[in-house]
Amino acid sequence: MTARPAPPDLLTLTVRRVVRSHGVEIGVRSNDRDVIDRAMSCMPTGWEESAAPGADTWFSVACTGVGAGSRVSYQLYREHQLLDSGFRLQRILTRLESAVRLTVGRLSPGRLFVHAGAVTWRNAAIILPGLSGTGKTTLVAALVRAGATYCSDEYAVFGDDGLLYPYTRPLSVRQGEHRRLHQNVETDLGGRLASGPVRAGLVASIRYRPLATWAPRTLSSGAGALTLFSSTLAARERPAFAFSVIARAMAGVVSLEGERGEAEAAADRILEHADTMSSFHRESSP
Amino acid sequence: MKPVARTDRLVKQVVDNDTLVYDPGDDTACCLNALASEVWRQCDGRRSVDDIVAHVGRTVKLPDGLTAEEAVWRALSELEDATLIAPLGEDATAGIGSGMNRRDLLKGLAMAGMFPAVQKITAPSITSAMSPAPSSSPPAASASSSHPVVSASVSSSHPLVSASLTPAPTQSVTPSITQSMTPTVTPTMFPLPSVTPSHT
Repeated sequence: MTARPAPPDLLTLTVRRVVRSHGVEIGVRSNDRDVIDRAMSCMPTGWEESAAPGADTWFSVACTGVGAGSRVSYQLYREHQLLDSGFRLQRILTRLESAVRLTVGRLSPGRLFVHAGAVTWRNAAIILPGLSGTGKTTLVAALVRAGATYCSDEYAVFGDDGLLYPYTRPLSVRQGEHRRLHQNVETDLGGRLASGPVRAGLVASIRYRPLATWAPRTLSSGAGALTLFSSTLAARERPAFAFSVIARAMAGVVSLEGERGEAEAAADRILEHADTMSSFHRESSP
Repeated sequence: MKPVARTDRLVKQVVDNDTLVYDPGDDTACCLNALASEVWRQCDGRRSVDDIVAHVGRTVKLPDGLTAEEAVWRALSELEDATLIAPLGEDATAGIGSGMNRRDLLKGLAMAGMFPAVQKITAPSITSAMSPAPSSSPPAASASSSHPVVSASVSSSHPLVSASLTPAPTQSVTPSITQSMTPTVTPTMFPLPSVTPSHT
């Protein structure tokens, strides 16, 4: 058995920055300035430097084993908890990015993060709730190629007004078990990025199954709301807030559930369905 | 019989004609359709099942072939299974006069698009709600199933609801550290320690 290295004294990680994202102060510290600089690329879209005296959550990247001939290893902490360790900084930063997103999604005041892809079509949003492995990123990419405007491939972010706000990080397409391909929506897909809030028009809980026939069934507003709640980050911590936001978002919104085959064909069907709905043809949104 | 709805600690939200209910006691959430919502509202411990049947007959549009009595008993059964009303008891169907027990009654009911009247899920935990990080064997926070919605449902056909998945056990990789991670003062930029790691 290999002995685990002694944990570092995290307060000696004196290179620090605090950023603000969706109302949450995220602190990052390390004993290597370059690591901090690279960590900024892991912050959620739209982050800004914060002058807050503290942070809601601290993340620490400790570099250890430094010295002549030594190989540097990295340890990632969230507060007191070791999240990951290893010799590959890129892996550590990927873990940091994921953990920061999760933290922001949990703590954001006035925002509800739902695990879902989202695009806008005409004047309303199409929301694709689903957890990892259900094919939502592939479907989002297909919808963007078909002309929809990109909002998010990971979190649908709702305000307390019930509107959907863009969360436009690069598309992260799973490539086998352990790899992801990051795609720029504008340059790689020729798509557009959403720039402002939009109301929901359709919630489609669609799972990929090879050779599946497109035959979704319609859900009631409540059942659709339950689908969103089942993918909500803060469902257990802030259920009343989650319910109220989802209820505002779902008022009069149609929900579908079912299976799809190939993403391109499903994207066409979804957009055809949206075209038949009055909510996508209102004058403006919001 | 006068059914009694649970009200303790429940979080409720009306969405159009449906009702969402969250139970922080077991972290489950239910969606009651229009029928179940109406029946649940009537379960105040003062109204009898007959009263509720009469109310539903007046206020809820039922599919052809489904009587208000059948619909109410079915809804009551689902509400009981979801622990949203007090247990009905074995003699709960004594008043229907058909000689069938409740299971027979429920088995014989046409679905008619109205059932299940109650869908139940387990709310996702934080760890299960995040996408797994690529190329890592994630410790602690993310070592879990990517599908958190795993509860046995109340006759739900919802794919996110009815899946039966078990979150993977989390790994214990939380060493103790010597000092608090949350200082009260945030220095901006300190002098760089003499560290020049090679980033691989």
